[in-house]
Amino acid sequence: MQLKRRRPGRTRERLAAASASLLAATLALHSDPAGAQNADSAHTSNDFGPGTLYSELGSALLIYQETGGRVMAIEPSASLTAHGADGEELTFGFTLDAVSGATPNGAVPSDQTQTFVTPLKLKGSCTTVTTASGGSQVVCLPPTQGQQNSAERLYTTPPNTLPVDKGFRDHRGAFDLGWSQPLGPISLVGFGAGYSLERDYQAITANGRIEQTFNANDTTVSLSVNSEIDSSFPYGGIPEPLTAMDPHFKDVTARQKTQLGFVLGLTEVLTRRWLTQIDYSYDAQNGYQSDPYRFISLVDPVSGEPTNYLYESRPWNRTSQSVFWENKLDFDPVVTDLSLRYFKDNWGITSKTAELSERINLTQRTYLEPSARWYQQSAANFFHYYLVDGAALPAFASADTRLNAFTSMTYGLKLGFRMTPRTELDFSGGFYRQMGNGHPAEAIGQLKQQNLFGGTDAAYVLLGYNWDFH
Amino acid sequence: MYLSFSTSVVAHVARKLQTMKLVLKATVAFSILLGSIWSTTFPVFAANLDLSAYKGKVVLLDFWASWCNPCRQSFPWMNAMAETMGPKGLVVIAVNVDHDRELADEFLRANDARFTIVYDPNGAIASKYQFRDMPTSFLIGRDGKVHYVHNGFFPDRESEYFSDISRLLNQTVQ
Amino acid sequence: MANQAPQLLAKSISRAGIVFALALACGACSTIGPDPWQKDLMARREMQPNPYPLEVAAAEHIYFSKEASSGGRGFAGGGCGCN
Repeated sequence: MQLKRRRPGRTRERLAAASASLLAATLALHSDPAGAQNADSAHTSNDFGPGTLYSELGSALLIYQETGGRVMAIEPSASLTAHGADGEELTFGFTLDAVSGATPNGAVPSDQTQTFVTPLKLKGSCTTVTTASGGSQVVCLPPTQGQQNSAERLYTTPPNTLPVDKGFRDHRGAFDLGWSQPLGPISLVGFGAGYSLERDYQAITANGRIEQTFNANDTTVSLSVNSEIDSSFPYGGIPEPLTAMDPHFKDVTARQKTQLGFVLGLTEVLTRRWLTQIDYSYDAQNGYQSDPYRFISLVDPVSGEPTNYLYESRPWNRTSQSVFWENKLDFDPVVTDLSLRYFKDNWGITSKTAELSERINLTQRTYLEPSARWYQQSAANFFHYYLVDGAALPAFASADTRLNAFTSMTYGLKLGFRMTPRTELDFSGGFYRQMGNGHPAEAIGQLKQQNLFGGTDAAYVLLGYNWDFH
Repeated sequence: MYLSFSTSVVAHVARKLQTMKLVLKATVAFSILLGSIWSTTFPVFAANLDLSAYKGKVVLLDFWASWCNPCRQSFPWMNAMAETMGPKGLVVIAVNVDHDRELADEFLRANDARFTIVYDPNGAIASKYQFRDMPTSFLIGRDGKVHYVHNGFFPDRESEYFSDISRLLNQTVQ
Repeated sequence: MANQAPQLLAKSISRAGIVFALALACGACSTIGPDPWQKDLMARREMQPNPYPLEVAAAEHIYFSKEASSGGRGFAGGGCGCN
């Protein structure tokens, strides 16, 4: 289940956790300077910014729904940032995720009914066949060596339908902590840490950064280094790669993955109206990167009917590089934000992203911001829609749509209200369209009549609320 | 034959390049000429700050803008300086560099200023003084020369700023 | 004359190259970018490198869950350069 498992460790936003003692420390940082509580102007919140002591409370709520009864997620997040008068910054933030809904299990559709099984542990002994969540059944398994009370969760997919597992429901919690400040001649040094936990995945992150601003504050070079240790402990254990679907609990219960990367950035204020930024990123991940729940179908070479389902397998090592270029242009009352990104990794994936948003300041207090994002990626070199029974198994294979070639378009609209000079409320809504090839040329037998593309469209609503205070 | 053709093409391109460079130099020279004519013919674009009237006094020349947060903190302190040090010979002049006069006026309504304000929307005065931080204050002694430059405004350095002013006030003009 | 043409071209290219290199070097030392008193627009919230971090993080999370590439953004720099 992608939405819950993979936290965006690569984005360098500063989120952290709020706890009572730390909150008290934050409040203690503030005195109450006499001149600061004066009348606020309608269109600038000038009490806040460099040189002033203030805090920012940010919050957001994301509601995400894929079409066709697929994944639904609710994700609230919040952050508290305390700014010191000399440029210090302390940030706490947290994010919660509640995900449910159907997710493709990696198998291809068939013109026959398909049956899938996953491990299930019961408290007592298994007696009768019962119905579990999401329309699946609990079926008892004969006891085997070392596994008593074992059962399997069984679900079926009707003919000519993309196989999905409806039984998933998960929660995730994450928090981050960060500190940054100028240090002697260095404009900024900072470090941070984060932790994320869900039912079957844990991630621990650490990062550090250094920035230097010169050229009359018009140029900034920055270097940030980030690392992460992930632990995958799926329900049912870690299956051996490319082995057959098996409802028994696996011997290996957990696997790890480590990640190390850096981002080199150059930000330049080119003119009074034009800010540009270019970043180069390098990332290396080593360890278990497969989806332990995902299958790849083994199909008959003539009829295309599934003969078996194998657990997918991804390479142990992944290194990637990307170049990101962003431009912000302010031509009152319109602010344009255009960014481009090129990404390439050693899994054979290259992608291009282009994002454009136009913020139109309607009044001093409100703005409208339409946006569009175009994205295109190539398939991983071990991506296969299915594997052919009888042919030699490749070293790695995955049918995850995330690794397939596709194009996506996202359309969004945001409405922002600065309710007071210190508070802002934002409403965004958008639609994500995913377009891929459901009829590859090499499809055999009944697969020729099936739509093999596992991607889907999604709609989202995003609410944001920011409050600056002393 | 091919060789002679290519060398004649190369010669043609070389001549064109020489011409292009000449045209480029001429355009640059002409633009500079035009720019200087323009700025002297239309004095509204060339603001002037004549400090000769304050010779013999110490001048605190501060550059500020409505969009600059530390400026907000500097105003109460500058008011205090103008009040207490004014009788001793301190003159406080605050130069505003806002593009939009309305924003500067709004700032002044919210932040009381009991000292002289000069408007420099095109940055002509700012360009003459050249600085890299906002706000920046120049402390000009009784001799009319800049003695101290304060980059930015930090409330915890107010005593430092004050001692710089005192030092200049205690100097006598030769 | 025809014999000297290639040398002339080489000379003009190298001269143009020197001028270009000098311009670049000079441009690199403090003439690119507006003066500190012209940073009014850079002080605005919408011109900061990352004015809405939580919203960007939520959107990036959506893309991350559906796509193979992630990240790449940096958030340093910009601003009015005050203090």
